[in-house]
Amino acid sequence: MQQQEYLREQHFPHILCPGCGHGIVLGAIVRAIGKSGLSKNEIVFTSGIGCASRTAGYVDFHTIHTTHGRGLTFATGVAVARPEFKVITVMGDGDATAIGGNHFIHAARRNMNITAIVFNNNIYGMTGGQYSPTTPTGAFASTALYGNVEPAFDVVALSAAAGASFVARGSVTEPVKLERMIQRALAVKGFAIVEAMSTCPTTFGPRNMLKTVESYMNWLKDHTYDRGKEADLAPEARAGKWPLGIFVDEQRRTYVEAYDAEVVPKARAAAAGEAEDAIGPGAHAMPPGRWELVIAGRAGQGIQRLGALLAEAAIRDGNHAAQIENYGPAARTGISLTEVVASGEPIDFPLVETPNVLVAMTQEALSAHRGRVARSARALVLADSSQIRDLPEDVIGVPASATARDEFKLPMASNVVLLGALAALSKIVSLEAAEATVARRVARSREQNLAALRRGYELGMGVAGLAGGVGGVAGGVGAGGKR
Amino acid sequence: MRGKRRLAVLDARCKGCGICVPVCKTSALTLEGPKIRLDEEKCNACGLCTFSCPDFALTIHGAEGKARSERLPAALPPRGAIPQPAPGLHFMQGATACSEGALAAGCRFYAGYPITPSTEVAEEMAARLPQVGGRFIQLEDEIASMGAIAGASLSGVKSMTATSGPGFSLMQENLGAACMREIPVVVVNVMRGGPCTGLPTRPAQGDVMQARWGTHGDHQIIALVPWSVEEMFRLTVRAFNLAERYRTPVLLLPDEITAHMRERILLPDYATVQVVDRLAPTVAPEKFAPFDAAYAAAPLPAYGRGYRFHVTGLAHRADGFPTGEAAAAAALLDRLERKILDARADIEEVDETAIADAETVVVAYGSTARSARQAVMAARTRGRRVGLFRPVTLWPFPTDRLIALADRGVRQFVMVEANRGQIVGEVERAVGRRSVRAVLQADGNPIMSRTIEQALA
Repeated sequence: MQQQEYLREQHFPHILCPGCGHGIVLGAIVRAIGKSGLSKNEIVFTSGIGCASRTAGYVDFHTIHTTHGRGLTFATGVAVARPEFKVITVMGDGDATAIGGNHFIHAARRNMNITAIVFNNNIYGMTGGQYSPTTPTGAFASTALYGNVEPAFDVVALSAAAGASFVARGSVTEPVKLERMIQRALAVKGFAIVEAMSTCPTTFGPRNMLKTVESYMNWLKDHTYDRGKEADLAPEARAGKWPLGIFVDEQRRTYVEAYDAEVVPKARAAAAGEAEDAIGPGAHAMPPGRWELVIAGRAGQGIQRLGALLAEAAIRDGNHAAQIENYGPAARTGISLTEVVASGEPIDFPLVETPNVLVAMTQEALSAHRGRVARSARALVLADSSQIRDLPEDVIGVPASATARDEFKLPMASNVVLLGALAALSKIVSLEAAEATVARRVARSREQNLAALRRGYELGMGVAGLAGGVGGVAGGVGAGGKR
Repeated sequence: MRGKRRLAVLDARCKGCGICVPVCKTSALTLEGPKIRLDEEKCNACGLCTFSCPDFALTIHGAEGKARSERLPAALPPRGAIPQPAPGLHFMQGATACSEGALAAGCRFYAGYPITPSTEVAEEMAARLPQVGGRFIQLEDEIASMGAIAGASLSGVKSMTATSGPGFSLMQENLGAACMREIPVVVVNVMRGGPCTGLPTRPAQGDVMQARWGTHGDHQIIALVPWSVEEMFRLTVRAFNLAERYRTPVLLLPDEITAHMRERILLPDYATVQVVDRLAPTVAPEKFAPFDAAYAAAPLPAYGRGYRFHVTGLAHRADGFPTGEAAAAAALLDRLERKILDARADIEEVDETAIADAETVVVAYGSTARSARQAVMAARTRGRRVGLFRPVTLWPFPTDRLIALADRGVRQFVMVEANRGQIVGEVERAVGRRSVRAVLQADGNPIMSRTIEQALA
């Protein structure tokens, strides 16, 4: 087996220390790739930070040396955006199970099509030998001078629990078996993880009475066993040792396979059905100036919808409007409020500063916002009189909820009734634009909603007739009595 | 043709660890001094030792197999027409316009993590990407999201993420990673107040300095600030185009108002939108250098076309491989800076209102500039010679344009921003501290035009 072909030979000798097991793991990866028949052009090879991750510079693929723990995140991007590649991510033990632990378990859970190799030397080698999540309890490290008190992660159990399709553990003491595991892993479509038990003769060995490379390799040999022979070993003979072998081999659907099979057809069908048509603007002359509307009520009354319908209708009229939703963290409880600014001219500031129109759909909304309304001749306060106990003199009431419920059997259409009334009373939008907007935006019970809109317009016209138009309303001409 | 199998020791690679010695069944390998010595008489060329050598120093000759395949994977499909809302007038939310702009610019991958007030961008992309031949993924956090879009873009697919304050903090590491590796990506940060969780649903402009200096180390960044739904579309397209042209992350910094607001937008036919793509290499793969200093921003071939290259966050040479050499590291940082600063004429965009005869100029960006414009126009009706200067490109900051205004006789600059004064210092640096006043507000409420009018009175 000639592995040179996959190597960037010009960069050798590599930077790993004499006797470092990681070079053996890299050799096994390269030979496994060779045997799997993959072309160099079909492989993307990512790594994080640490000794293991430096191997990315020595292999002749598309290689990304990323940030600490993040090799799988870059790999995820490639695996989703370009599923035609075989994506391989190499990591150290700290990389995979500490700083990158979150990415590791989620890549396994999603079954990203990535072959992940964890070079586990039980230590942070590059930074000088600090304990890692896989350092055995009791072992020594530069930050565990008195012995490590933390329990260690079992990478195999972690991967299996997180949902990896293929989980194996090999060792640098058995490089041929390790190579075969990696070859099996490469053939898997999905998240395949091989934990390669490795060594750090520079930082782990000397602190743990493994002073020579040979004694370290022998220790590792002694501390691993073939899981196929587990039954032959007494529990105490297995304690503190790593079983080697294949633990999980269950192929299931990858993220991209599931996405392409289920999401894409539905999304394409939706796109074929509903091309959003453009608004052909009309030419309704909105009363001049800047209209600042506050629409308030209870969550669930269709407040935001009313604001959106109003603003879109204004744009359909060839005018300008901006709407902003105002909502708290709880979506379906408490107060709801939206602001609309409308004008015949382009709008600078899109938010309400001093409202000159208030549409109140509850008593609380009326009480809370009435005082904000500008004291000007064109100010308008419109309320759903079905929701108000005692309508003040200067507030125009339209029985929107009663009308929606009793006349149209559509309690949810009270907002549309108010839109109609507002069109009649304020002329901010034309009835035609309001109708076109409701027809476009309301899919369910469209005809009843349009009828409710027209009824609201009639109710508004009735009030307007009595009140002598908007300007008269603010003077409080009998508006309160129209319930 | 196969010769006789024999083992060779590459002395230049052997580090003398001795791992191979006990592996050899015929005791042909001995460690004498710093290197392994091979007794060819004893060696039966079984090759076992080659599997155990961590340094690739032992190879078997005469075992050459057939040449490996140079097969290329399927190429990226060309971008064709995509389904879109009909060209013309629409009533649209800022977040939707941003997503549509991304699609029009060729974005086909989005990775993100939900966070208010940016989530609507993710929701739109989740709905739209699978309609246009792209893919969406929601990841475990913003760290992963930023890494994923960098990986996807490097592989050849234009990519984007969107987030808000706390998520933007988490993205800084891999944002710097993308700057260093010169990966074109677009990051939308819908700004809210901070520090920490702050006021998640309220508008603010609290991240403008984090956008500039949030990552560690020295590098330039491009940041654009939209003030309308129309600009959410146009500047998202522009962000992608700048990212591709300069091989750099580009930030779009709308505030909560601009992202959540719905207003009118004249949507173009996407086929007519000018789209810039990264340069393709003009040399053969063996001559290709991903950080070729002959370019301000070198060509970046899509993966799978025979160009296999390395990228790293370490200081690197033109060929992408790490270097510890001071001169090479300095040259890299210099180029990363120059590729953006030397292109300021192309990158900078400012919007000036009533500025020709202005004695006082209000400086504001994003939605704050809309209330500033309202205040400026109101002051004009009272005969005040006031103008508005709006940096659309916030980074690099249009310092020279402000200097030109000061040279032209503008006596006073009024900086208005929804934070505690992050850009004030930039304006002061341009025109001097004595000519700058600040109107600042960071309480979760938008800055009203009357507040600015009072300051101008």
